[in-house]
Amino acid sequence: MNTDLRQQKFLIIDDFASFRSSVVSLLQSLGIERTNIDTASNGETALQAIKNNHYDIILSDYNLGDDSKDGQQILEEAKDAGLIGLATIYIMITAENARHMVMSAIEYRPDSYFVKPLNRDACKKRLETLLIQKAELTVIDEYLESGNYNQAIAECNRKLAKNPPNMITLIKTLGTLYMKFEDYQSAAKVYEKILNTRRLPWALLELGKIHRHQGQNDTARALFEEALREDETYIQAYDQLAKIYTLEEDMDTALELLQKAVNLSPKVVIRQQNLAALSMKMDKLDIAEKAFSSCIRWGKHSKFKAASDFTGLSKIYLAKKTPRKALPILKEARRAFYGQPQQILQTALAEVSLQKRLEQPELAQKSLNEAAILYATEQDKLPIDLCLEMANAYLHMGQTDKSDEIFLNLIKNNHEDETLANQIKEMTSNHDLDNHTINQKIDDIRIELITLNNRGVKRFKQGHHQQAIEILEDVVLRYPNNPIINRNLAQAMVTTMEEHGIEPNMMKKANTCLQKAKKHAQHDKKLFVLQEKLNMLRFEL
Amino acid sequence: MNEETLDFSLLLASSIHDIKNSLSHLITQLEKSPHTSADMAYDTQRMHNDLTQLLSLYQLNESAYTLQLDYCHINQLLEESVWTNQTLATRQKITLSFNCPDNLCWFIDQHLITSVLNNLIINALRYAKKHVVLSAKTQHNQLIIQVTDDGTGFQENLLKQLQDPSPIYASQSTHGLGLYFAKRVLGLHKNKHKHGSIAFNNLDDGGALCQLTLP
Repeated sequence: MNTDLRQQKFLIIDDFASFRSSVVSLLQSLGIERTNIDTASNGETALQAIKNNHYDIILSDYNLGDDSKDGQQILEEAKDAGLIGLATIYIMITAENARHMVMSAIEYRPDSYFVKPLNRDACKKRLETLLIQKAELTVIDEYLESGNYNQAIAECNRKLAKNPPNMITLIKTLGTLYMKFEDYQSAAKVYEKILNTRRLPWALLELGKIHRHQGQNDTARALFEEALREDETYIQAYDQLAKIYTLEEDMDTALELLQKAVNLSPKVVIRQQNLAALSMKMDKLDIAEKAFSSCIRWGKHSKFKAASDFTGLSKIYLAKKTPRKALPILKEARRAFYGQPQQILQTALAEVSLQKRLEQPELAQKSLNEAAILYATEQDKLPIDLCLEMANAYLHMGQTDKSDEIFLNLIKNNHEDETLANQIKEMTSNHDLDNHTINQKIDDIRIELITLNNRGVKRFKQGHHQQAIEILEDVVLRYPNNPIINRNLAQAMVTTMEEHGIEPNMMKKANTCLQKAKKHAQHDKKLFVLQEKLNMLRFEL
Repeated sequence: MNEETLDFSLLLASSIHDIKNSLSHLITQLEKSPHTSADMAYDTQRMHNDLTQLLSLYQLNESAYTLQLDYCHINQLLEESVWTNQTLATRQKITLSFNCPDNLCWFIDQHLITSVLNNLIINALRYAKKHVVLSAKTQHNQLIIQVTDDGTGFQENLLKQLQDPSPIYASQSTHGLGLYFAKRVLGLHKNKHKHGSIAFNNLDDGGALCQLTLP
């Protein structure tokens, strides 16, 4: 990467034309060509520009007006979508008093903060230093982009040995990489090393998360609590503690923690959604109502906004026996999510219960029909909860054949999910129907899948790889989309090829299984590791 | 506005913010003008620093701001401090320079330490004859930042007060905001059981020394 300021591509984001042009002329006075400077006046155009062009330096105002995402939201979305890498410099421009607001940002922090008004010489100096620091990261960026993770890890370690100014970025990158490979021990070491010199809240938090992943809740809790002693406004530590207490089913404590976090920083949509979901589960309707309303309010320009914020609020109005209040909410949801099938499906399903309550069976049926069409096209991509809601709507309307079909499909693909099986049993029992047959079928499928999978895994562990493959292939024929069976089959094939050499046909099959498994369980880290192994084999081919 | 609901400190803080912004504009204009005297430049810069410190103290008190420890390139920090005060130094015909190992990095709150440094620098510029020097190094696993000038040094009784280790409170301080702010900021910089500190002394060959120690 070239560190000459004049060779860089710039993007300036500000809602005031006068400020944009003053930054443009400041950059021009530093010798930067006008053709290397783009400008955007709001979040949408900025993200579009970032998607279409490569920028080396992005200068964004924090506050972009009520009708736009703010600078922090742009940064988060661009990072999340992989539009900007480690080497892109993102600078937040703030009025001084906004600084603490920006500081409470969740995951991604900008590389630097500039305070208005900008001073030419100081700007130049800072930009040059940032460029030199960032140039160091270009190599790692390239490894990451090409999926060369081992090289990226080696490079991070090499650079870290020198304690460079961008140490924090390197530590976080390295920790994340190790976690990707489920190498908890190495990840923990990265953070423990820096913690030995200083008890930094973010490092305590990351180390705590690693322990939580391994089920060591007490160690994790102590680390999160220590992070809060170091910095009582460290909001993410509240989130993490709440997660632990939720896992331990101490809902009251979890709720208290989330409320504290939300009070400290009300604008973060995901946190409000967590609070809403938890308080809903606990039947604390007032808290849930407030949280859902906040989700809608702060989510307006956020990519994390979801129809479930609106349908959640609608459910609360039903529970509070003020169903009419839900009508405008769902109308708003339709407007907000126009053209997004999953979100509209969610909304349509909420309309079914609402219209039924308002004694408008025709309107309810109309929404159900719409939902059915959307469900048919989206089926493969839907989260379990939404499928259950679809089934629930059929149950409500007395169409049990349709709901049974959904239940069976869910079980076929998630046979190990105990909670799901119980949820279905509870749902069907609420409906006072002859639910014996469906529950029997569910149990049969689960037992069959568990038995066959265990048989395959056992053979595999005994070293009879070929037999394991045969058994699992047979299961896949009957349950083509089950992610666990597909994963285990892929695993057996990869191991066989690692030991006995590559076979192109088996490569193809293993890959198909892996892709199918991924479709239903994107977040399964074992799949990531398997994919890496498969890539290595392909490399040898 | 209803009198009972008037939040006076909030009102003060937002006014300070306003005044500070106007002052920044004024300083930019003064920098460009050939008619600006060294005194004008000094006084406006001093006001600006005071307002910045007041705002930071307000935010710290309201828990609206917590210490943000970043792994900071100290060389760059000193260089920026020199840049910021360069115009003022030039007007007073004083050379402002810095020396620091190139790769020195430390965990500090850059925003707050910069405020402290700016305050020390403009004071030093006031009393220096020809040179003000910023320097940084590590000693016993702590970061040391020094601001020295070649003036006549602190007067005996002032130095005694400055060296008094008892905690000072803004209200009873005779040295005003600057010292209180510095002590507060340094005190917030903790590592394990050590706190940061600020110390003052006279140099053997005349001149004053201010030293920040950061664990």
